[in-house]
Amino acid sequence: MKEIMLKEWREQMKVALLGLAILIFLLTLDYRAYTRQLENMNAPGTPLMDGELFGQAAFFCAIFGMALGWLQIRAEKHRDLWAFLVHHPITRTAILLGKIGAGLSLYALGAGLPLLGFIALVRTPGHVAAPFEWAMTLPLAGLFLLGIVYYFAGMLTGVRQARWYGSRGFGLGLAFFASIGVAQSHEFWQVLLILAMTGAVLALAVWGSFQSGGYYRSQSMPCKLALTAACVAAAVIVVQVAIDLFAVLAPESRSFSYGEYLFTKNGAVYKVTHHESEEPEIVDLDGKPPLDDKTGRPMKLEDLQQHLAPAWGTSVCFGTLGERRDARYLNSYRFFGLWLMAEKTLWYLRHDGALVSFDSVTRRQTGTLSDPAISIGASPAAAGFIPSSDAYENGVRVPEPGRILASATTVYLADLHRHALKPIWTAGNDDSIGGYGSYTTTSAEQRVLVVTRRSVQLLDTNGQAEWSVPYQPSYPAYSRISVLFLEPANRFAIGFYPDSKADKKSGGKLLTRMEWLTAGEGISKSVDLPRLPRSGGDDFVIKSVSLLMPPSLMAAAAFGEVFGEVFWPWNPWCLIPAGLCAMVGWWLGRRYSFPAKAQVGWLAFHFLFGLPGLLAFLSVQEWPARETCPRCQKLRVVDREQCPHCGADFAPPEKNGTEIFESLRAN
Amino acid sequence: MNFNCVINTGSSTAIYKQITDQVRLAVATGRLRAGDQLPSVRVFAETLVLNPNTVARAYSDLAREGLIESRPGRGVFIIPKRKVFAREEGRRRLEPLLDALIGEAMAMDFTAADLQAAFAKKLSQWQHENGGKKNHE
Amino acid sequence: MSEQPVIRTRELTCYFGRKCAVQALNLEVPRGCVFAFLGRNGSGKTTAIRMLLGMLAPTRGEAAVLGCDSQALAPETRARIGYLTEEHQLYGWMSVRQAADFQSAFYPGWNKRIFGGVIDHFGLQSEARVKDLSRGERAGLCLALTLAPDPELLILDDPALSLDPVARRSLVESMIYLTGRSDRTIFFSSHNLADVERVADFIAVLDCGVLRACCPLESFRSSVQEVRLRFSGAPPLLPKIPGLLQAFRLEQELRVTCVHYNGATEQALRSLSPETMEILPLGLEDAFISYLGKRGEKSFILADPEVQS
Repeated sequence: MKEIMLKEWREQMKVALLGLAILIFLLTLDYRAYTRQLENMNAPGTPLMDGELFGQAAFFCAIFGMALGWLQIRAEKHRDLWAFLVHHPITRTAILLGKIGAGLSLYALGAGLPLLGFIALVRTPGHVAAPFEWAMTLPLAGLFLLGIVYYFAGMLTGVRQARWYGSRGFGLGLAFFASIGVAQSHEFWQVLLILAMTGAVLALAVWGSFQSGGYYRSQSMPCKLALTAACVAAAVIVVQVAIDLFAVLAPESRSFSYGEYLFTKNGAVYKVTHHESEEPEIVDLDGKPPLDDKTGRPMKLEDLQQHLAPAWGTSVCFGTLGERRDARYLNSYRFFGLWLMAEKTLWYLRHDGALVSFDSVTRRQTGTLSDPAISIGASPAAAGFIPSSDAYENGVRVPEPGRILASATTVYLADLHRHALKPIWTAGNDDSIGGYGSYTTTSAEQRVLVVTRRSVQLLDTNGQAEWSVPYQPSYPAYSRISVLFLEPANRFAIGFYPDSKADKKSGGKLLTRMEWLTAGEGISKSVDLPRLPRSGGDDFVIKSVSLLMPPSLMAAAAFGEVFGEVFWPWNPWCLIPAGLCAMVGWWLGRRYSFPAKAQVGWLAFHFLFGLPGLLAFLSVQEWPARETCPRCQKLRVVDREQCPHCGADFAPPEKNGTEIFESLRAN
Repeated sequence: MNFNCVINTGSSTAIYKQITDQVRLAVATGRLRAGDQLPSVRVFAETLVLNPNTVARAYSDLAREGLIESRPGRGVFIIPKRKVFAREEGRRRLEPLLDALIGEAMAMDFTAADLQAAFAKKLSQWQHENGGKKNHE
Repeated sequence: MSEQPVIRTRELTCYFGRKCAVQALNLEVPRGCVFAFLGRNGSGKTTAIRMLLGMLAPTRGEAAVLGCDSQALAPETRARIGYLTEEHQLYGWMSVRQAADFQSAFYPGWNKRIFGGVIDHFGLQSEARVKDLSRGERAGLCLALTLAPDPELLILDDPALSLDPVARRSLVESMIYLTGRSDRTIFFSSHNLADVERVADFIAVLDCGVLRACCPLESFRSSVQEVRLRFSGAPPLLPKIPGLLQAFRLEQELRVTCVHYNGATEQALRSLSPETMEILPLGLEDAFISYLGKRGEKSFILADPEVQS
């Protein structure tokens, strides 16, 4: 086996070095881009978790891994060279292990080394002006491992003897799903699980096909199952793409509509219904359209938008990790958020609640600002600052003039030059702050919205509350608060928005609550806004998907909430196409005299996997020829000794009178 | 030894027969005399680039005819023509051969007259080939 | 002596799609012989050999080599089998020395002397790269790599393909050298009947996937005979003759090749009342060509539309 590994090393070294060079080049470009961002103070994060880097690295690892695997198999493309390799006094498994050992070590060289170098660069102080944690390297680790899955997919593509155009590439389907898993998973352990499962299935399929020389018939059962599973994954993608293509070409089914609520400065609420290619429909809660003051005619959307009230809001989450918990493992927000960019300093709020500053020129950490309550010895729950919500005005992020920071109990006004924090407001006993944000009103005053478990209040920079209302309906069902600044300046409207997860659980029954109040006077009106309709859209696609996709996967998706969303809605009618596929499979099985166990197994398979299952079935099976049986005159398959209909043996080849046979004993 | 054996592949004569014919001819023309040594089976086969079994068959035919003799440890030598077997022994050896010949011929549907005619023809062919030097009854 | 045959097949069959490449092959190759496997191009020889070595799974039937099932050849058994493929394929980037190092690592019984001997015989430089070698030199290298582990059974698939006469002669000489050991068996396929005639003990002939002959070399040659019939005028139509291979019609002559010439055949021919009738023995190559050529009557290349067989 060592000899095989050395040979493979020698053969594929060029590819590995090429990959190494390409990745180093890509990473250098990414680092340069980061440097530019830093110099322009353009909200740089950490290059380690940059979305573009992930995209490039994912692409590279996939292509590099796949190419290595494929090239290693194609090295013996010629049948006689393959025979030369295989006819050695070692088992085929040992040969394959030699190839894999060499291939993966070359992959580690070409992909792993540059990534490790990059991580080391980021880790070393003086290169990246952002916090570093080892958990931040997990996404790159995941992409590195993804390449290994593609390695096996590439090998499978190379080794299979497939006859359909393109069905050789079916091995890549499962690798593609692994990519989706890496990109969409929430936690890293999920990524590992997906990679381990897809990698194991592909490796098993490779092993089986390698043993049999690329044919299906002579493989062992687990390997056949693995190969079929890989083909099913690819067939699912093919069917999905076909449906999407068809949906693009299909004429109708694009009429969708959705609604939204808009609030004007005088406190009125309007419901806007957008239709596909028509004017949006605007009505108030009583069903009357808004009228223009001057002309008296109904207002258009553009006119209405002049009168909208400024709105600010915050999401609510208790604990320093806060909403960071919802961020996925590859989102840098999980580890830190940019708090402030001032002169040449970047301030980050880390997930552990510490505020750290980095100098953008030296790229080193220059200081921290911690919650004074920690040194006073306050309760652990108070330790650390919690992230504020970004302030957006009409979709543009607004920088805050005064620096407001809050911990779980106290709101501070921060003086960064003197590293001092002045507490301006404290939550009551047994109460904790769950969300806050500071905003500038239209009259250039700064206000701070603070949401605690019990109340919502609007403060000024001295900590005086302009108003305070109970947090009713409460957390966790309602997790987003927004405040509308109406006219005159002491009038406000507060919106309580339901949490999307809680809403789903309740079946969509939670309604948005609006409350109108006047500062100093309390709540004047409280209304539950009716749910907005949403219809149309990709109906065709969704319907077709639900009919043609594998029933078992759709059931699993519906019950397991794969990837946090349900891609494929469960539709019991999907068993009909699955049943048709099962019939086709049954007919083919009878035609080619499958053994009874195989027939039953494939029957169950077709019911579980529907149309993609049938495609996978057709792409893996090798159909034996059929000939007429001399005794019963029916067509019989040639790979069985006895006729499956009448049990007759095969007739010996016809003699034509010119046979010359003699014993070979007289040597 | 100036015995040169030339083998033609593709000829209608079997290779082993070419060897025996050429040895017989060499003995007849005096190129090979009694006491001359022929190469061993192995060496001869390698020289002629032939399967040793072919050479071995040629040698065993020649030995049966009484032209050559294999002396263990020394080699293969030409011997003077002599009676290999006593008459009695010879007859005894001939019986099964005759049975085989007649049996095969009958199995192939040759009649007695056919066989006799064929036999006479073959005999005259042999006599013609060997120039009357062979001992026969 | 009932010794196990080194190669044994039972109803070995292989289909490629609908086409039957090898049909119900039943073959037994005894130990210690040189066995030639003959047939036209595309008759299924390479397919059969691939099945013997486990490179290809048969559609039906089984094969055993050195007592081991072909589809499950153990590494120890593979160590005793030398396999030379048609195309003499090796890794182009390897040098002669690297190829030797690569192969010798697998075989404990690697014989440097044999390897060196064959390399010298073919005149190969040890640092020459495989991709720079000529066809014949590559064949020599492959042969050296196959012989050096001193295998008990040598399976050669058309080893003399595209070799020049000198290289071919070297190949035959190597094969004869190997027959020096009585337990060494050679199983080879070839188109070169001159070499086959020199070196083979037994032959088997495959015709469109069907085994039509398996016998000692001499038996094959002597079973195929050509009969020349002379007529005073145009030759008459040929009656049905058992074992007829080919009939060749000339102006006043009829040449018939057939198998197992016997009394019935002679009677059938005599019934045509020829002036003379001669039996002509055939060389091995001519016998083979008649045996595998197109059956039936013909006059030269194009079939004469007036005659019927």
